[in-house]
Amino acid sequence: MRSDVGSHDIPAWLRVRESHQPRPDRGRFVEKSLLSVLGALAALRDRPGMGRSREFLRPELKLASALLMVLLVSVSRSALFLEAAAAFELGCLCLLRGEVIARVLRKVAAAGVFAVAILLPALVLGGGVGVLALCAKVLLAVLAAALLSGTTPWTSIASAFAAFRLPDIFVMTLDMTVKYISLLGGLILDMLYALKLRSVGRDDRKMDSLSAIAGTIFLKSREVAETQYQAMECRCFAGTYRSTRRHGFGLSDMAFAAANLVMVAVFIAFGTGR
Amino acid sequence: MHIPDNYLSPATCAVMVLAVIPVWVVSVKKVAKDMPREKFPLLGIGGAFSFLIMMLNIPLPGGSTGHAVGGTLLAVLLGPYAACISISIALLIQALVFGDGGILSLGANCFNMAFVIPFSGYLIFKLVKDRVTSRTGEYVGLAVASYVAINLAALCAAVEFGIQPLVARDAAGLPLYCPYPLAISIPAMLIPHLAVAGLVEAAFTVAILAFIAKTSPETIFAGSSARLKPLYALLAALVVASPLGLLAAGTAWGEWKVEDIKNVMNGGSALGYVPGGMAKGLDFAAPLRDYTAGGMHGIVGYVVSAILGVAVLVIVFKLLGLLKRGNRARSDA
Amino acid sequence: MIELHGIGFAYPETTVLAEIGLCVKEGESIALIGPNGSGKSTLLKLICGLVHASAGDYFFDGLPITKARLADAAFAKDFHRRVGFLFQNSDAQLFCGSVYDEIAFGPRQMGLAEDETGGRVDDLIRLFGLERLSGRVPYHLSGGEKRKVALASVLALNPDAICLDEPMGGLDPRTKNTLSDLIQSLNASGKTILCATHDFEYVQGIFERAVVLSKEGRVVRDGPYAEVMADRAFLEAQNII
Repeated sequence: MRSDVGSHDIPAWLRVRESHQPRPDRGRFVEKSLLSVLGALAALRDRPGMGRSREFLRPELKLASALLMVLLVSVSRSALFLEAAAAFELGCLCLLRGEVIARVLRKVAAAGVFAVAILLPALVLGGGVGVLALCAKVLLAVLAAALLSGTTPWTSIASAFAAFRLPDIFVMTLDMTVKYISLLGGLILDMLYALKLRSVGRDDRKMDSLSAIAGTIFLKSREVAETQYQAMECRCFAGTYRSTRRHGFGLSDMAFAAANLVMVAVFIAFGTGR
Repeated sequence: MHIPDNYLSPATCAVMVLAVIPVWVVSVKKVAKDMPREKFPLLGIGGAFSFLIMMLNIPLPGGSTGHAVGGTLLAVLLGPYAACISISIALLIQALVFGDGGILSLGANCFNMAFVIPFSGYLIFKLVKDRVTSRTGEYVGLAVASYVAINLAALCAAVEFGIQPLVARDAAGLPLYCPYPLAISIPAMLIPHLAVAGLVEAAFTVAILAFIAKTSPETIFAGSSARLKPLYALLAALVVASPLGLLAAGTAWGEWKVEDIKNVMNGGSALGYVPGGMAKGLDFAAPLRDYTAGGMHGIVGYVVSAILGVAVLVIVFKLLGLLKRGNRARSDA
Repeated sequence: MIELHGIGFAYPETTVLAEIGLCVKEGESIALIGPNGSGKSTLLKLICGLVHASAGDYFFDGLPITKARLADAAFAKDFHRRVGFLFQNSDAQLFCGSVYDEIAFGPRQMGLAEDETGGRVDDLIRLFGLERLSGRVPYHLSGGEKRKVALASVLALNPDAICLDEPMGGLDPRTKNTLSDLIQSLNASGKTILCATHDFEYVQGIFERAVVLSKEGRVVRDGPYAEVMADRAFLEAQNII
């Protein structure tokens, strides 16, 4: 027999057009999860304007600078230093393209709203200017981190870690994690879409559907892990992880490094508020 | 439960990093020993899985949604050591790429979510599992384990927050970082976790594990040959050591003196802060000047304000340009 | 039934679909063909409301289908029931604990009584020859079995139109034949079929019409299937054969 299906076996109910009133339901969790995962995948992908060929500064410098700024801002007790930090960070920000600026500021705004919400009681109860300063510090720290993540694709950040002589296995795992986030993330997206498409009424067992998706992702991930290592071995991977790095320290790198040193100087001079 | 930067003092952050480093070292050693090389990619996988779990919106009865960490789940699936590494990596990526959780506070976040949750969850689960025989009993044990684990982590976070007013104060005795003492931070953190987040975590963990148990039971972590006693010892040591370490750091900071509120009134020079000047990006040359005594301060302050002003203008113009382009595109369509 | 006018879809730096115009009457069966990257999958996803066009208009049964429209939960649910979608990757579509539950998922959502649901599920299991697999976990099935279960779970909703994204991909010849016969029967019983495919030798006689997309995401040919497929020179130029 050519196939397993008799040509005229289509059941009667499938042959007629059906009309159906969908039952109301609160299915926002699928939407929200979709948006979450989409956002995450988009952030991890190279964006327009990012990418190896367009990197203005060495990623190690940017990473070190972000860490430095977060640390100095956190420790600082001086308004002047915080203002200087703001000048430095906003100065860097204004050199970027409009879309990147908007993206960075969105993150900072979100952090700011959150901080104000949390700290409002303290402010009202007389926490003093320390609380306002805290808000400023939160914003500056988030801005520093957002400048890094907004201008540096993940692959560069990961290779920056390599430049700091961290163990190979650490860098390799970091890189692989991001790859898997993309891979598994793509699958989760498809599954969430499939769930959304089939959510045509009321689902009384939402938790089951979502946990089944999560469980399937876990099982899939184990399959991928096994084949991945085999693939790497086939291509002569033996435990050391080499990442391609840019050579040479350009003019922009030097200028940026100098600006960072200036910030350190300002901190030493005024940052501790004495 | 991700703690952002500047809510914990740098000293606290440093202590938490020091507290979590031995955990990382032990975990890496255990994993390297127990896991064959072919399974190394599993760490990256675990990290990706942990990351994605934290992205999911979980439906709750009543229509609202919540998030889960999945720490106990990962511990039961991959073992607590692998879970610790996986969650740490996920937290690192979240901090660096998304700003979820701070960079300096990464140590604290890893301590709470990558150490406390998987290890306590795993231990409690093992304790229950070794004593019950029925499937249902195991699932109840899992629910309890994940519930307790996340609340323990919330408690740790609450303590980390709550001691800030004690360990980091400015010259006037006002808190520099999280301004809420333990009496506020503990209920504030614990109540939502006991009432909601813990239940979400428990329900989600059990549901996922039930699915996996039904589909591919052999993938669940069988339990390593390691004894649990060293784990208990590690936990106990850390529980004892952390507050001591934090207090020591606090003393070293040297700001225990409670000064008069009068100093605050005195034009701010004792404080080192000026109100209103710290908001992002608006012109605040004026309010800043009144605390400086002129001279070096004044010049630097002037240069800084100038740079700031120019930067803000450029940013505003670029954003306007973006808006205009967006409007034009929309009207063209 | 389905009308697309000037539809465009683009990511920030790439255009996937441009100036797509398409009219599909109820009961038609259309093959969507084109080289890799021509946007076939995207077009199908657009038609079933998963993604939204950045330009142009889409009407389904005379109703405009827009992002705003689909934000209304009731409308979206009804729409998704009427337009079924078979994913290229069957793994994405299966998440229930057993084949039975998987197929029953849709009818249960619709609120059908359990015995009516059971009737539908049994009919579909019989139709696809899945009797032995009814209690199995979909995750562990073979590729062909998964594809069948996925399609059955879509059919359980009794959609008016069915979009299939590379339904034959990775299947053995027997299963391809089964699916091919099934699609033909479904079309014969009134379902509108849109199918993105590369497996030309297995779809002979199923499709009335072929719509060809170019690499740039434009419709370059739209005509009777047999006629389009006979023009070898054209198909080669488009990198389809």
